[in-house]
Amino acid sequence: MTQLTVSELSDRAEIADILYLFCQFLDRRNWDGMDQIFHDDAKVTYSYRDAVQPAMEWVDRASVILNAFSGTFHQLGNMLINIEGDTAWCETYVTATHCVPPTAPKEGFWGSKDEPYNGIGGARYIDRFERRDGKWKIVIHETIVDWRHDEPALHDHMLQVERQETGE
Amino acid sequence: MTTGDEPANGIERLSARAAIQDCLYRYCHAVDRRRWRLMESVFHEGAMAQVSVLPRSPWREFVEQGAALLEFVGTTHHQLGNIKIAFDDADGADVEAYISAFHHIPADAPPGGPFGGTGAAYDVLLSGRYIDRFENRNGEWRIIEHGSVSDVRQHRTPDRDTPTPQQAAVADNSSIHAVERWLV
Repeated sequence: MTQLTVSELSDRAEIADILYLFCQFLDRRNWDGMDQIFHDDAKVTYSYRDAVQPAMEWVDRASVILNAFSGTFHQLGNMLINIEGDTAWCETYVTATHCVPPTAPKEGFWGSKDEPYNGIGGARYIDRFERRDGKWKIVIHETIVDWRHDEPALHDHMLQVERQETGE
Repeated sequence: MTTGDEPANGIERLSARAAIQDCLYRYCHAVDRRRWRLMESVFHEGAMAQVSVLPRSPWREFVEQGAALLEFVGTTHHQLGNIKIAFDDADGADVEAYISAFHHIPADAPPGGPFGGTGAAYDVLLSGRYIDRFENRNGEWRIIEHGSVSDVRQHRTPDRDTPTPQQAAVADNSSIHAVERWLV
């Protein structure tokens, strides 16, 4: 590998920022912001469970579920970014905690139970990025879940997410 | 840094940092996907490596032993966090990387070793650090000495909804795109 140029380093930083922003929007419930993450024709799939669907339909569904949770925390790790011109593939490790109260929807991967629980999952995001009109955004977003662990919430969920609009 | 000084990190340093991070991510990808061929782009010739119970060995032997150690282990997930890079000259760096490693041990795994079967499936979570010596040779930043320190070991009973390694493997058709350029 030869030395990266400023332009290449900048592309990497932009792509990383989009992935961090995606997590922030999920965890702060900023559904209106998702058009900064996905291009108009973007597709989303949840590994072996769901069919491929338009990103904004996925966002609508996810918003109903996540709005009912008392907290979520999506922490990113390894971010392997492979850029070719105006396109890029990226594999990103994520460990996410979901605080699920009994009042949340029963269906879905993190469906509610009779008692509150913390659902912890280890996964990878596989993203196809494209730069259009100078903006890097996701066109394909796939979540591959590698592991899952549920534990009873032994105390009231302290992270009652206030619907604050932060980080703008 | 005060106004007018050269920044502490120029383009060369920033580029080297990116290359070092990428190399560690490729290492984790190679382990978790069992894409051992990718290790060719992780180690320099002559590199030595040691983790867990595996003795310090030339890197190709180390990779063979690692593949054997994981043969009966299910899904693994090696997630890096803090990556601290200390350059000591233009072409060398000491790197410490925090690692949270998940290992699923199936019920029928053979007994013995750090991931031995017990007759019931269990998950092992290891928290520790990779300690690496990186060198730049001909523009390639790779590992010449790989080691690890284990800080925390936890065992858990898997949730019934944990995807099986087969499910995860079947689902994972796309992760190869992120590493394709290093597999040619």
